[in-house]
Amino acid sequence: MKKIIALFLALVLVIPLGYAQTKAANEQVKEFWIYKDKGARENHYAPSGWMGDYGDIKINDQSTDNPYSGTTCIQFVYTAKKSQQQGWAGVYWQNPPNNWGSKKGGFDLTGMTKLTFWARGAKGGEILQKVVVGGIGTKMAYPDSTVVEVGPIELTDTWKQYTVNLAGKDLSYISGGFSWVATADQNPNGATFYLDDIKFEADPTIKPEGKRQESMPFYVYADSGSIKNHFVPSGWMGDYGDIKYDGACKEDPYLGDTCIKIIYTGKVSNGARWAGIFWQHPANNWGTIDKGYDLSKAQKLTFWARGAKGGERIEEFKVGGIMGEYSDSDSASIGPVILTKEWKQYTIDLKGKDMSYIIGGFCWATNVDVNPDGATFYLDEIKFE
Amino acid sequence: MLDSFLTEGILKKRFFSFIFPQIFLVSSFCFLRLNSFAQSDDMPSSGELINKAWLLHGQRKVEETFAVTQQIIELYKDQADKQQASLSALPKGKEEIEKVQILNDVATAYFIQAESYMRQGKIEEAKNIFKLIIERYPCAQAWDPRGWYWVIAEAAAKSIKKLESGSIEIEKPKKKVSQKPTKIVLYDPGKEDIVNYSKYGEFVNVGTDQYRYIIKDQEGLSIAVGEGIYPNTSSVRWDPAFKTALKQKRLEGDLWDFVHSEDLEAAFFKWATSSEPQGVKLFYTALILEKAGLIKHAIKCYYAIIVHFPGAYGWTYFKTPWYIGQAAIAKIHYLLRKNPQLGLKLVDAQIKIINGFDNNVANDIVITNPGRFVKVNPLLEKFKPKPSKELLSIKKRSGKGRVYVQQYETGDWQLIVDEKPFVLKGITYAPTKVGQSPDEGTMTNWMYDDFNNNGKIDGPFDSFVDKNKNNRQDQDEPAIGDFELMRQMGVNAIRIYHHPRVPSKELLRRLYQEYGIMTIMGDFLGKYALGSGAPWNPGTDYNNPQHKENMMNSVLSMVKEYKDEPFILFWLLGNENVYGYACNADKEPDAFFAFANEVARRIKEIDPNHPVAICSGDVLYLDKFGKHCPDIDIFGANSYRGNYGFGMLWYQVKEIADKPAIITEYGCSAYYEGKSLEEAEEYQADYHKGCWEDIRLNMAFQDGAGNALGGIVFEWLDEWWKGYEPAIHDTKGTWIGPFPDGTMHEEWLGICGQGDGNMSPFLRQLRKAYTVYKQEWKN
Repeated sequence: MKKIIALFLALVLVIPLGYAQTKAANEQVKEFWIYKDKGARENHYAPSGWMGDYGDIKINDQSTDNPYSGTTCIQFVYTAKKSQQQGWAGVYWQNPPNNWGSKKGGFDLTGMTKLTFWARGAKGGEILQKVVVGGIGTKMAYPDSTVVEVGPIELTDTWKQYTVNLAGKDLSYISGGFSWVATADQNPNGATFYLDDIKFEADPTIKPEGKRQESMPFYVYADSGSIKNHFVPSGWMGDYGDIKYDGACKEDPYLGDTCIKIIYTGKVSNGARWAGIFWQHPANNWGTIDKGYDLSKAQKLTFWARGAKGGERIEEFKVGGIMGEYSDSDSASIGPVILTKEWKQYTIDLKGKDMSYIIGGFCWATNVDVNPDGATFYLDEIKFE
Repeated sequence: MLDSFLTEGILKKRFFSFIFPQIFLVSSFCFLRLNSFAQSDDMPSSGELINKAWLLHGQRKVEETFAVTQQIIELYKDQADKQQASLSALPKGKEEIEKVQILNDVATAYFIQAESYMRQGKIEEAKNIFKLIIERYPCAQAWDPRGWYWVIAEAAAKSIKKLESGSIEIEKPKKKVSQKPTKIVLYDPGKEDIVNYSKYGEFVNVGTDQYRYIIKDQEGLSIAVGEGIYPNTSSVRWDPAFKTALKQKRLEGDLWDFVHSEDLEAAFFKWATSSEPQGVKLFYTALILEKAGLIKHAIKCYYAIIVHFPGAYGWTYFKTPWYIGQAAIAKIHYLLRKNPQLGLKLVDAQIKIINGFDNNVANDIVITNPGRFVKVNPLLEKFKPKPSKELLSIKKRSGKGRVYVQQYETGDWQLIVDEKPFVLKGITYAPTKVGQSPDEGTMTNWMYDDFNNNGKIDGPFDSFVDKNKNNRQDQDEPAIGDFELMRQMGVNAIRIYHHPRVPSKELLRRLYQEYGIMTIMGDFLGKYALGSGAPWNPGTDYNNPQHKENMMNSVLSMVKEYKDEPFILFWLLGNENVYGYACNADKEPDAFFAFANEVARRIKEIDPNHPVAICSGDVLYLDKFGKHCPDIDIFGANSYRGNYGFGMLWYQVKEIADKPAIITEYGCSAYYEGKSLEEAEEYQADYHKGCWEDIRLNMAFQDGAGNALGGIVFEWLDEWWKGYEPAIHDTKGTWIGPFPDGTMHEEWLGICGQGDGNMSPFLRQLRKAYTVYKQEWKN
């Protein structure tokens, strides 16, 4: 009998704790902290999921360098040295630590409507490509029930609060509480930044975010590392071995400090006899990720281009046209285009096109048959207007 | 530059003769190669040795075969192993394949050994070597003079299967994409059937190389053209059927597998939303619309190519360009011809490609006139007066005897025989008995074959029509003979070559005297190294004085031998020499055409009574022909472009060379994957009808170029050896092209079939194309 009572007591003691793991938020809970202060009892999740160039990241989770509140904040130093040759790095706060979806441990955050955090850069101008809530283990045994991304965010040298709207999202199982991602492209000299007071909040005044129509102009490429850049030149096609891409070329940019330089050698490295690059959102999205921008306000896409010698022939410049589970809503193109040695602006007319969902922001393609000796050309100021 | 046809994003062109392999291939897998590799001063090249090995194998010289193949293996095995190790995938295209030629030759040497063992009945030894090839040289390939590369390991696997099971695998390609038969119902057919392009934009510099159509109102134009037609890329995505097809996963699979899918709706959506270059995308979208019977929309789609992308091009498998804008014009003419109820005609549309007769698109200059659609009354068109040749003066006459060509003041050309216009209604006649194969050295000469020993030559005089297709000769199916059947069909000429087998003069005389069918007598002029005395490798060199002398002698001996025969219609030089293959006309086109002209001049010195024609490969290097060949009277080309005919070919010949033209080979198989043989026959007949109409419309005093003299159908009878197993009527597709199911089925090209083959060479099953020609040619 004593044993039974002892077991009963044990259960009574344990169950609420277990429940807290799975049902963290309820009607009474207004806040759910990720980081309050070093060692705070309210803290949840661990910053254990280091991604990309993890060798470029240093963390100090008890920095006393001007915390926003309390006694500590978190300092991150991202060196952008590309230690793992990825060009980007990030950290996930996970529960349990190092869980990428193979273990059970997500919190039920139903009732929370936003995540807020405070951030500042050491110098100001540091760019977080995005911050993410959820999204762990999409194809694993225990996937998060949602993923919400916000970004890019350009930090200032003073503390500023940022909010991720979670209203209307399914937060019933979140093992990846928070994450940030930075890229070497956007932070060529690295970035030191601070985070503080990261928490979920139940704010009844927050309304679900509708599909936002992006305002114009909306850049594909403005300058190297610019926060304005919205698409990534990740979709290398055809003879990708024939392409050299420099997104920070300083050879006579049309505007700003840099332009894009592309060398197409025409060596048919992969046997296709043609090559091209798609600027995608997010990187490498061939229609598998539901992340299209609503560019319905766009009437045209304009860009500047020039050839190294003049006479380079680009068969097609294109917007949209990626087909997959989440396809571009439309496509439009111009071509063939014979480039001149001087910068010249080109326009892809988007009037009458359905630009409500675009993952492929821009694309060029050419081939060895019209460029037997290859082609070197430059692009700049690619934007929707 | 070739107007040819597409395959898998790239294109493939017919580039070899159907005639030649009968002549000299002697071994079971006589796959000779063209280039010499890895030759040092003190050792023979692997290429030389492999050719020698094939020859010895063909001659059944077992010991010598093994000696030579072993020599290749010992000399080159290490290099072959290295080449194999350097590969991660099967090399594609001639260039890549030839980069690892030592690997190819060593694997071929093993293959010949295995074949030889197999022939000797040494099954285990053969299997062991076949297995070695599969394990060690999976990326080795060899050239088949029929016109393609074959993977040696795959052939080895088939041989093992054959040895183990005794059965021969018949290839049945799996359909990789949705085949659910559907129709297309357009969600947005567009507001205008004939789009008023001037309303939505501006045509600038029409008729020049600076031609452009500048869209001023993209929305308006999109609404006018409708779904799937440039620049309307939106409507198709709003089409509810598109969303359904997506949901049903009917759009999954390779784009090119949709071209001939029965799921027309899915094929349309797939192509209309594809990322292919715009010209290619529009052409195939239009082709699918055409198949779906949406002719107006198809015409609109083809026309969009001419307006927006006139210089668009695709590529053949062998890297020859295919000009899509020109093909689109031909397609529109064909569709309007076939659908007179539309009451439309496309006038003045023309796309010229300066420098377009070579394999380089970088130097192309495109001159475009998009033309316009005009309304016509089919009835009035029919009664439109045609110029009468009696009232026209002769501008030019070539030839002095009973056969000559003449040009009228209108620029039109006619072939004249015995002072009467002669429309060439030719056919290639090579009635091969089922089971015979040049690959196995079993081919006999049809001109003398009398397998039932009744004193009648089998094909010409002893064949019968299996009317009820029961594969037997019933009482009401008496022997009639091909010559009579061809006469009834309207054939008035056959095409043969005088070498390497000597034709039977007596038979050809009877063909002419009793059936009125003349003979076009040809000389290969060094193609396949025939007549030049050159070895196969590297083949005839048109700059080599000795080769040239040999070829000249070959041609002149032919002319001397036959010039006084009444059956001779004209002389024919070459057979697609411009594509190369044991001759260097592809690399030295100037030398080739200059020599051909020299030959023509010499022919005329001894025989002014017959014209001289060349047999070229489509219009490749037509500009060189125009430049070097004033003494050749007729431009002839083997051409397989599709059911719409030959497009700009006639006009190009007229403009570049101002000569009359003939199609020396055209045809289509009577097999269609997934359809009944009866349906397939319909498609074959339709193809022939389209081609002949195009030829007819381009004859003198018709609506076209006025320089077509006629054509030569390929071919009279199915030949069962072309897919390698001569006892089996193989249905496998040997190459992809503009045919009804997108594939050339080599063994089904006959206007007649041989039934189940058991009564070959006597049985004939006349196909629907026979009736088509009977109507077209007899009227």
